[in-house]
Formats: sequence, C-alpha cells, structure tokens
Amino acid sequence: MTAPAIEVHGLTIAPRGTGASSAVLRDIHLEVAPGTRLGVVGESGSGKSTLLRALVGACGRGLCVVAGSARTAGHDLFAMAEAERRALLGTAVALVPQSIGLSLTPHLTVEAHFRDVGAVDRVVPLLDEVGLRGEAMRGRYPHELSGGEQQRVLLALGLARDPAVLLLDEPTSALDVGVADGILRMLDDTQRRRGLTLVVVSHDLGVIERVATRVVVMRGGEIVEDAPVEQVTSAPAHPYTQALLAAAPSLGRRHRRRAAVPTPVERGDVLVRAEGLTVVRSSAEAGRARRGQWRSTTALDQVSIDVRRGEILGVIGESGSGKSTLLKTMCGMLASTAGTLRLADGTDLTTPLRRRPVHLLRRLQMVLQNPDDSLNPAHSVRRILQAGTTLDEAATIDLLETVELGATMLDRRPAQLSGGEKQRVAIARALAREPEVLLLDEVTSALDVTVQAAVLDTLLDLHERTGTTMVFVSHDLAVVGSIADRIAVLRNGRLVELGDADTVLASPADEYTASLVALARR
Amino acid sequence: MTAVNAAPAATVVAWRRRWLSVGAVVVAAHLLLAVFVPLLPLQSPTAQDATAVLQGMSRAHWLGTDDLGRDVLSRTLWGGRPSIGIAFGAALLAALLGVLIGTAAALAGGWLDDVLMRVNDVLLALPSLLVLMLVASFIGRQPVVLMVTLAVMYAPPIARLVRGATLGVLGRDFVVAARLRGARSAEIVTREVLPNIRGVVITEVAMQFSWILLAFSSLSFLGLGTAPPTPEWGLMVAGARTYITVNALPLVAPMVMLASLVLAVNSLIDRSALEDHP
Amino acid sequence: MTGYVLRRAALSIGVFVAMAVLTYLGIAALPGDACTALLGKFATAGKLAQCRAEHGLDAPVLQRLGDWMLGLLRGDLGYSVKRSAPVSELIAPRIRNALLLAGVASLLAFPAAIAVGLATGRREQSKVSRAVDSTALVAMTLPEFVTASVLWLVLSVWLPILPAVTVVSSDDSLLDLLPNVWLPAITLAVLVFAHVMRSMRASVSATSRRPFADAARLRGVPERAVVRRHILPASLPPTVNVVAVTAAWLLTGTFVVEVVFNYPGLGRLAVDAIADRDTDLILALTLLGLGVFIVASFLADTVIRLLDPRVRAGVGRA
Repeated sequence: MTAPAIEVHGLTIAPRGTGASSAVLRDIHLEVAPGTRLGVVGESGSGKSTLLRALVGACGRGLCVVAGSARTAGHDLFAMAEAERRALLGTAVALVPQSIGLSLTPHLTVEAHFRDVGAVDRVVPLLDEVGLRGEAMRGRYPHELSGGEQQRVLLALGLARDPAVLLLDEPTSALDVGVADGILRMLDDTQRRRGLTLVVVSHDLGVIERVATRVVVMRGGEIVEDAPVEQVTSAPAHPYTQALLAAAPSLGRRHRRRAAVPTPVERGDVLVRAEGLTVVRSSAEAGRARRGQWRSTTALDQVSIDVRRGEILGVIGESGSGKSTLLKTMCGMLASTAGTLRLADGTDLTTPLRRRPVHLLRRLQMVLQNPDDSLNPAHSVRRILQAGTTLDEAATIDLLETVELGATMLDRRPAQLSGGEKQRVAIARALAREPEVLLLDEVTSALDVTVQAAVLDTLLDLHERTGTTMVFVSHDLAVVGSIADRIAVLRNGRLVELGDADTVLASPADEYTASLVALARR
Repeated sequence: MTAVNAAPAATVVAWRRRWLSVGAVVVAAHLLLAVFVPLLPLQSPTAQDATAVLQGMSRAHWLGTDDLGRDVLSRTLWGGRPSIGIAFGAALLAALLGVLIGTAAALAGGWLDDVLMRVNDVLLALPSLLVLMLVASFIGRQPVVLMVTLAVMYAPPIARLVRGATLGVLGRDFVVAARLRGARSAEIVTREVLPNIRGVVITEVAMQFSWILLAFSSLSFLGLGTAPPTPEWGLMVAGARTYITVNALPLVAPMVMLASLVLAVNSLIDRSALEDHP
Repeated sequence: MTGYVLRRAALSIGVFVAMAVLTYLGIAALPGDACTALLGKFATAGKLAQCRAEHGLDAPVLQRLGDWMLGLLRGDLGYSVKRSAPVSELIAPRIRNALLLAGVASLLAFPAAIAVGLATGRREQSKVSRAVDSTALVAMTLPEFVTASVLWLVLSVWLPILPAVTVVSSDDSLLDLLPNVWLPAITLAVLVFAHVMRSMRASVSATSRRPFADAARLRGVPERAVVRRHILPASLPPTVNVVAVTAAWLLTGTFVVEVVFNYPGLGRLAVDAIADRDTDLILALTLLGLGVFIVASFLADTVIRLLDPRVRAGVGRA
C-alpha cells in the first residue's frame, strides 16, 4: 500500500490564546489515498476553508494549531520553516483560492503570474490545458478576464509546477451555471489525465457530487460524516447530512410544503402587465464606466409578461439576463425605454421612483438580495419596521411573527442578527406596507442551504395564509422550481419561455431552458 | 472573522482606551484652562518689569520672565486662549459647511456635484498658510476674519469626506428600501445617511481642528496672527528665539503647552475610522 | 500613453492659466496695493495717485491683467515697487537656494520613508511597527516651528554641532550656503518622512490584506518576490501622490522653517513680500508655487498610470 497523500491526525485549530473550547477545527482525522477525489461540504462557519488551509500548513489570521498534525504529500508542513514550506507550495501541493475575491494581482498580466512560479515558458500549453486560448490570454490583465476565465487561470497557476495534490476552494461559486459546468468538466479531465489527488471545498453538495468520489461533511469545526458520495446522497448516516440533503433544492422535488398543498394554483386575473417592455442602460449606470466611452446595453428587450393575482411567478436567468432589471423597472428604480407596464387598474408603472406617490409605492414592495446591506446598521429592528408606517407595538410583533421571528428581536440591531434573521426582517419590512405584489430579488442566494430552505418555507406559509402575489427572481432553477407556480426564463434581456412550472421543468419548449434544466438535474 | 481576530483586537482596544483616557484628560484640562484662566490668581500676562528681565525660575516668577520682564507662567497659561477659541469656532463652522456641501453634492449629483467638487479641489490645492497670510496682511487680523478664512480653507477636506461617505451609504440597499417606502431626500439624509457617517465626520473634524490650531499658531509665529502684546503661544515662541542662549524657558514653556494639546487631540482621534474613506 | 501625456499636459496648462487669472483678480480685489504699502502712513490722496500713475496701477484691472499676462509671455515677471528691483532678479537666486534645501530634504526623507513604510506596513501589528507609526504621528502633528525650535535648541545650542541662523545673503555661493542648509533640511525631512512613511505603511498593510497577496503566497512565490512584484507596485500609487504633493511643498511652501532658520529661500521671501504687500512679487511667487504643484501632480498621475493597468484602461475611476 502506498503512503497516503493526506494524513491528518487529531488536528485542532483555535484562536490564539484561547482553549480548545472555541476551536475552529476540532479533532480532525482524515486519510486520503493518492488519486482520490475528495469533496468537503459544509455551511458557513463549518471550518471547511480552515481545513483546506491547514493542508498547506497555514493557519489563517490569529489562529494556531492546538493539537494534532497534518501531513500532505508526505510533508509535515506545520513543522517546517516558512521558506522551506513555501518551496513545497505549488510543487508538492497547490491550493487554488476562490476567484470571487480578486485572487489575481491587478497590475500583472496573466503571463507575469507564471513568471513568479518559473513556468513562463509553458504559459500557453498550461492555459490551453485549462481550456483557455493561451496565445490570446497571456498578455491580458485580470480586469480584462471574466469570472470563469479568472478561475481557469488560477487553476493553470496551481498546475504549473505539477503538484501531486490539488486543493480547490469553492471553484464555482459566483459563476453562472453554464460556466460552472465547463469548469467542473475541465477539472474532471485534468484530474484523470494527471492522476491528481483532488480536494474540493464547496457549500454546494451538487458540485461535490459532480467532482468527488468521497465526501466529508463538516459542521461547527468537526467532521460529521465521511463516506463515498453515493452512500452520502442515497443513505446519509448523520442527521445533519440528512438535513442538508433535505434542504438542498433539487429539480423534480417540489418543496415539501409546496407538495403538501392540495390545491395547486387558483388562476387569478392579471395584476401587472408588461407589453414590449424595453430597458436600455448606459454602461455608466451599470457600474462599468469607461472614460469617453458611452456604451449602452439593452437590459430588457421587448419583454411581454403578466403577473397574476395570487401566484408566485418565478423568474430565472444568468447574470446579465435582465431578471433584476425587470424587478427594478416594476418598482421604478429604473426607467423603461419603450413598451408599457401597468397595474390591473391601469395605473402606469413607468413613472420613476421619485415621482411615484406613496400609495403607489406601497402597492409594490421589493426585498433585496443582500441582507447585510439592506438593513440600516444604525437602526433597531423596531425602527426599521415602523419607518413610514403607523404600526404600533402589537402590530409590529405580529408582523415579526408572520416571518417566524419574535418580540425579542425588536431592540436588536442588524449586526446582532444572523443572515437568515436579517432576510426575514427585510421581508417583514416589505410586508409592513401591505403590498399587492412582493418582489423578491435573489433573496436566498446569500444564505446557507438550510437557512435558504427555512426562508423558502416562511415565504410559502405566508403565501398560503395571505395569498400575496410574489415575483421570485433567482439564478438557481432548482430554487425557483421549488417555489414557483409559473416560471419565466430570461436570457440576454429576452423572454425565452413562460409557462406553468411543471410544464417548463418537465418539457421545456426552448433549447436554452432545456439546457438549464439539464444542468440543474445533474 | 470577528471571532478569529478577537484576541489581537482586544489588545488594540485596551491600548487605545488607555491613550484615550490620558488624551481626554489633557484636552479637557486645556479647554478648562482656556475658559477659566481669568479666574486664576496669576500675575498680569502683559505687565512689564524692566528690573526683572530674562530671569530664571524663582518664587516670584515660577517660570521666570521674558525680555520685557513679563511673567512667563502667566503668559503661557493665557497663551492658549486665542488659538483654542479661534480653532474651535473655525472647526465648527468648517464642519457645518463641509456637511452641507458634501451631502448636497452627493445627493444632487450631476452638474451641481461637479461645480461644488471643482471649487473644492481648487481650495484644497491652495496652500492654506499662504492664503491666511494674504488675508491677514491685506484685510486684517481680526479674530472673526481669521476664523472665517480658516473655516473656508479647512472645510474642503470635510466636504470631500462627507460626499464620499454619503455616496457610499446612498449606494447601499437600505437606502433603496427607504426610497421604496417613499422617503424624501431630506429624510434619507437625516435618517439613513447621517447616523452612519457620524463617526467618520466627527473624527475628520477633530483632525481638522488640530490642523487649524497648527495653522493659526504658525500664522502668529510669522507675526500675522495674534497681535502683541496679547499672549499667544506661536507669538511667544517667535519672540523668545532671539534670547534663546540666555533663557530657554520662555521658548520651551509655550512649546510644551502647544505640543501637549495637539498630541492629546490626535490621541483621541481614531484614525482607523477614516481608513475606509480615503 | 503619448496621447494621454499630451492631453494631460494641455489640461495642466489650461488649469495654470485659469488659476493665474483667478490669482491676479483675487489679489487685485484685496484692499490695499503696493503704493499704500510703500507710502504707509505718509499716504495722501495726491501722493497715492502719483505713485499709482508712476507704476501703472491706475489703469482698469482687466487692462492691468492683460499687460501682466503679456509680460509673463515675454518673461517679464513684474517690478517690485517696495524693493525697487525687477521680480525676476529677486527670485532667481532664491530658486537656486530653494532647490538646494528641497533637494537635501528629499534625499534625506523620501527613500528612507518608502523603505521604512514598506517594512513596517508588512508587520502592521508588531510592537516596533506601531512604535514607529506613533512617533511619526507625533512628528507630523507638531507645528513646524516647534519641531524646528527643538532641533535648533538641541543641535545648535545645547550640542553645538550645526550653525544656527543663516547669516549669508541670498546670492552667496552654494558652498557658503551648504553648512546652513542642514538644520532646515533636517526639520523638513522629519516632517516629510512622517507623512510619506505613514502613507506607505497604510497602503502596504492594506495591500497585504488583499486576496491576491495571499494567493501569491499560496502559489509558493518566495516572500521577496511577493513583496517586490505583487505588494510594492500595488501599494505605490497613493504614496506617489503624497510624494508629489510634499515635494511641491518642499520647494515653495516652507514658510515657517525658512523663517525660523532665516534661510534665504522662496518661503521667507514670500512671507516678507506678503507683510510688505509687495503685489508683483506675491503674484510671481504664488504662480511659481502653483506651477510646481501642477507639474508635480501631472508627474504623479503619469507614474500612477504606468503602475496600474486599470487606471490606464480607465476602469474603476468614474
């Protein structure tokens, strides 16, 4: 038997100066044979990224090893002098960091990054290997690359010095499904060709299923389950793994609450109608101003869609599809260029936000994507909910209860709330104005899967009780599919498909929808 | 990450708190002294005594006398009043101007923002001491004139910071949420923006206060600020330089006072609060 | 790049001309002129009118502005009524002296400040790093005349190492001036060092926390290369701006330090000219300061453009 590629024994990592009680990683045991494809899955705070860093002998700011040891590719990296350890990084073991946080140096070209690791003469073949056109890419700067291209360059850098062990941190998060799919395929090929030992960390069990043969499930700094991937997905042993699986949205499995509701949808009359709606945005508005260059993009192109009373309309699309633009135009944050947008009673909805009377504003309320950003950190929950309303204390508490929070929240500030609680408060704030339509923009995208499932539950409960009309926008077809009555598919600003959720998911009429469904089913 | 950084952050807080208390006591002492010095049993700061010039420390004159036989202790304790008073008034006025201009520019955007910020840039580029000297020489050195000039010269950095911080807040989703409930601009400024930028604005104003203090005492040092015989630290240092080899006390005493005030004010400033708003 | 340089240069010249006009009008709008200052309390209406006629101060302000601008184009900076000499003759030796002072102070301060800022910025939390930072903060916040007086007291009165007050006249040879440059240069260097070092330290520590520095380390890039190729170039832009502004200040803004040490540079000339309300001289000195500032920021912007491809592409700066 050959020596294991990774050998971790009783590893415990804690903040410097504290005991094992506040450990970030607790008594980790892990043995990985060469050539294994290991997936590490867990929610935020599970310690999965800390574990990945420990495999290259790094602790993270303010942390230190309290007990145990870790050997990677036969080296005890924690025991080494810094220069010696650095020399093994990239040669024995390589860690590819997340690309979302700008992991490439902004003032260096792609080629210059390879010079650092002594692989400048192999730039082109390495870039070709990760599926980029090497000749064209070598002279570019990071800001000229897309997110997927940056991730591929980072991977090529990791492979540059032929490491035996390759570690990847969230290789596909923040990428569109199509792009993510390409990266996962390429990763699969590379691992086979090179016979690498691969460790992939992700919050998304779906990603792990695609690349790994063995899964480690982490929670609160501990490994709760370690088993072959088929076993984990078909017969999870640990309750947490079961919960994680149950929470993970997946096509073909309607949300459990949803499935329990006997009457499907009561087909209501039209509440909001858009006809030929077109929105052209200048690049400056879109946040990508280039001096002297005023380019405009058509964010919505002749979209005709109606929202029916009492339904949950799901809107799906990749980044740049125009799905957020649609919501923002409805509530007046963006101006439309052509077409009409009206409420059922004929009220024009193309008036900009600042000129809308308050009673019209109330009729459409929006909940925004990032709960960390959508609540004023200077205000208490009470003040956030009561702003601009006549709610008294009792009504405020009632409101909190509709989103499954309690009176204890009233005096807290956003910093004292968890991500899921923040998003519930944001939903309650929108409900406080008793809107006819609730516009939900990627409201669960920033949340962990189990929290996401709970928030979706709350929304469905709310819908059952009050029948509030909702427009639910997401990039995740599985999430949309689990909650929506009808689904609209947007691509490059155009509406490519609109129909009953079951029909769209079961037999998509459009080719693009079919590809999304296929990707989501993997 | 907060939990991870807990240990070093705690020591930073403790370290800062210690200085905060020392600094706070010194600043408070200076302010009290500036207000209540007329009540202290001191000799007249302007009375001359030709029979006792340039004396060292003695029972009659604890810190000796200057070249005109004036009591150095009394002059030193009185010497902070003009600078502290003018700097305080100028800093408050500059804060008012800066917040008004900064929020207006951020909220209005468009041409108004452009005009306000170009004027701001011009004022920032002017060397403030040069402008102060010109004003003092051509218009006069009355306290009101100097205070207003200082306020105008030191408002631009506050305005720029307020504009940047306001834009930062205006771009956040909770402001969008406020607009969606129909909040008007004035309400957005007072309710959503100001509570979130209060900290950085106070820090910036405190910093400008210390720069204004420096500028005014430098102006006095150059002979264009406070007019003699009024005791003022900068003026005293300028006068004491000529006989430094005979008696250094009249030079050292006002310098210690001025330095202790400026350093104490700076120790109170939490500069890390400004790092996010360059 | 050439296109950028030409456009930026044209803009700088435009700004300079606009500021020159504003300065002229601003100073003309101030009460009092060279004649009231020259005659002082002996001024009578008749004498003032005679003096103004003699020096062409009775013409309308726009005509005087035009004449003055035409003079500038011919290299005529005006005439000092108070000092009875052409302004250019008064300024020329002072420029030389200012260059000497600024040059010595720059050599003492800039390289050391950047090196120390880089070293301390990388270990922001260490005791030494924080002590250096606090000391620099003290040096930065003390009034110049206090720092100058302390150095003077210590280095020339208590330990007489350096000569105290300059007694040479402004047009003596550089060799005669050299011994007198040290005290003012050291004083200025302390201030400039503090500003540049703190800027560099803050910038380096911010860059070191950015993910790309971490990613380079994870790729096994040796620490020296991480610092030299990744952290340093990304940290320089803000510091380049500070260096440019302080260098311009060293040349033309050192009023207080020159007065303390009686150094015959541009700053002391400006203080004297302002006290005398010598308008032509004040104008020339102000324009000189403005010109230096504009050239410095032009150079700084060009260097930053070379350092950062994103600025070159015009991304991220709306």
